[in-house]
Amino acid sequence: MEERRNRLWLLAAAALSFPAWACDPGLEGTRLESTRYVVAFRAAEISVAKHFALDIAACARPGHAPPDSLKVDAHMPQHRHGMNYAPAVKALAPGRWRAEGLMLHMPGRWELVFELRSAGTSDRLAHTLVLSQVLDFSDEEKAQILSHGPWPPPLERDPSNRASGNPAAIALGEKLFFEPRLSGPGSVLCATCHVPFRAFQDGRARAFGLKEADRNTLSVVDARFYRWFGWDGAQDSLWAQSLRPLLDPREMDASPAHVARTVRNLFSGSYEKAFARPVPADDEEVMVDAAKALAAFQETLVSGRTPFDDFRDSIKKGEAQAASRYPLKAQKGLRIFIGKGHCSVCHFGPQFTNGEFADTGVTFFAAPGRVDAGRHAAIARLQGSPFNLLGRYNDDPSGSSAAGTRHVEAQHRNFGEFRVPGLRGVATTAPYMHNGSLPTLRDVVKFYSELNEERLHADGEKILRPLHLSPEEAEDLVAFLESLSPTADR
Amino acid sequence: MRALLAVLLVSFTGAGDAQEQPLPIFDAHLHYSHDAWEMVPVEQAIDILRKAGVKRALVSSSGDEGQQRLYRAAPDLVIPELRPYRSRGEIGTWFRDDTLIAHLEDRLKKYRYVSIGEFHLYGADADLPVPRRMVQLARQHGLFLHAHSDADAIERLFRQWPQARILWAHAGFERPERVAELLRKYGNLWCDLAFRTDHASGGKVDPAWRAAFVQFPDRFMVGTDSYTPERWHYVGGHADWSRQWLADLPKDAAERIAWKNGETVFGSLLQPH
Repeated sequence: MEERRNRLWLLAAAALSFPAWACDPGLEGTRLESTRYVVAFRAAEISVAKHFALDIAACARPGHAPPDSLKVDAHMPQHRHGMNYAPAVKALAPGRWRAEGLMLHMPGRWELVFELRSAGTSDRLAHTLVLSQVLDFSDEEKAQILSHGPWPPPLERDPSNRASGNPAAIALGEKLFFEPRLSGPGSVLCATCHVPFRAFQDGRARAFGLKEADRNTLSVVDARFYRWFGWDGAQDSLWAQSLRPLLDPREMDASPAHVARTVRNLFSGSYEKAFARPVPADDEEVMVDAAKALAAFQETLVSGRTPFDDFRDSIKKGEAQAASRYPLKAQKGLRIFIGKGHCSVCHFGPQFTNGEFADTGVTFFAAPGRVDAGRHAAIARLQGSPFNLLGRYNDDPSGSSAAGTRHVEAQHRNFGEFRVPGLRGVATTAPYMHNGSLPTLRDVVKFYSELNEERLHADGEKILRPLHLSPEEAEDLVAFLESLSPTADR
Repeated sequence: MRALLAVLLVSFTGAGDAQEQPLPIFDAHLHYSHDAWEMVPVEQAIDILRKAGVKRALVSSSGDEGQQRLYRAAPDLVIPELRPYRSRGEIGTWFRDDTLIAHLEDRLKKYRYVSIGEFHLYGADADLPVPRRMVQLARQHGLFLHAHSDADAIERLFRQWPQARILWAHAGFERPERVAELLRKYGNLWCDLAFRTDHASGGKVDPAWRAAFVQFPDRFMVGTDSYTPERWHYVGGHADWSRQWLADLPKDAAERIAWKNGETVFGSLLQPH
């Protein structure tokens, strides 16, 4: 008994400590070992839904009989199914085989199993293989994918706002953003509609400050990258946009005098730090500075990196392994987005928007008998506003920041046009469209899939045609859109 | 006394300015289709036209019921034209749809129209059997054709019926030089300027367009193009915008383009039964 125990111990020690005892199967490739055999296998390429062959070699450790047969199989433990094909294993020489006709028909975790038999006994050696897939994007598709990054882009201060990037102004802006006394009745704050834990919007179809408004609340995350602000672009700077809800009776219902009084009474110290001067006597000037501080704070709200960004960067670096972590459904949706969907024609660039406006056939009756004229009315309001970039409050001495305002002109097609929204974080900003009429991303995809051409002008955008997506394609597009939001661990 | 006279003169002149009516508009491109009836009821649509200072309007509707409703409510204001679409979705298919002819014949028996249109027809499609038959019907009933077409299709329509009278919708979105070329070639061609903004900017008329307007002041009309119900609420804005750029033209040309051409060409076509 003692002698047998010693012999077992010696065998175990030998197996662990003396790899030289292992045999050499004589094939470069992935190596698997059991107490009796060493197996090596290799394949030219294993990818989803493509037939492949394996070259296999095996040898017996000293003291064991060589294997006389080999069976090869593969299965998905999580899905509890195997392959759809029975591979044929052909013996090439003693200890050498070739298995043909294998096919792993879906991505995920597979187990390749090699069962070696000898004299009535068998050893089962398994190798886990996580099979992902990167679609065979063409060079043109890759170029389009790359155009949606990098993220985050370089951050530049707003030349029209002397408070932009100023830490003291950012601190003041943050205080003001969460200050209800800024509103006329003292009950509503910016964060009433721009709720931090709701991606700085409110989840409602239509905004509700003091009364219900006509439009959905836009998130202020990434607003610093906009050219025009609001659903209709009636403002040409983030600070002018920050003024609008302050003065709107449906939202915060304040006046320049009220805002100035609030700043003087509650934030004079912070104001002096932010603007390096005492609070001025002119109420309108104080209100505009408050808006500039609010804008400086909102500029800090930049969305994080997303699964798409990782994929995009992997494509750029040519790192297939890293790229393959991006879900196949999202890749298929991306292909629709940049391909047959023509989505990227308007939703282009790192922010996934051209920053302009479009009529996609969404109804723009705000109420029976009353329309929301969108961009068309906004251009007139912009041009008549004392707070536009052509006015005295623009801090940009070069005037170049006002080029858009100087040259924009209303056209008939602008009637009923609304912002082409950026899509970063889109999964977190439901409901959708200017009037919040579509509750989910699936509804948005369905809207474009079944686009009502009767609502589009015959000489409008030719790309706006029903996509007629299959249910699977629609889900793929949703998966892609969902991948444009930062994940929780980022 | 002299001072008093001066004050009186100023007051009189001022009163005269205040009483000056805005330039009337003949809106040559309106639709009142099946999707509009509920959103913009007949009374509201009529009210919109009157408030906009629209003297008359050439109205068609997919389904052909809408403009008949408007016409019944305001025959002094609405001039009906027959659109060859039973629903607006037929824009891209009607010219190959044989069943359409029976629809047109049926409507022409029941109602009065001045025109068939606005229809969308491009290039060689104009010579397909259905458009050819439609042209024959227009000829038979003495109707205008209101064509949303390229220049090629316009020329094909004239080849089919050299005496045709055609209102060229949006003037085909062609350049002013090309529009003028066709106006020179075809004496029975008129143009509507609906959904275009390239002929005027900031109230100033583009020089190339000005040349066309001055050369052919009796061949242009303005129009809103209410292709969705919402755009009925743009009729007033469009009329104001039109008055703004028309003010940059000689008065006679402005009045012709604003309303006189429409009134002259279409106003007398609706003869009583």
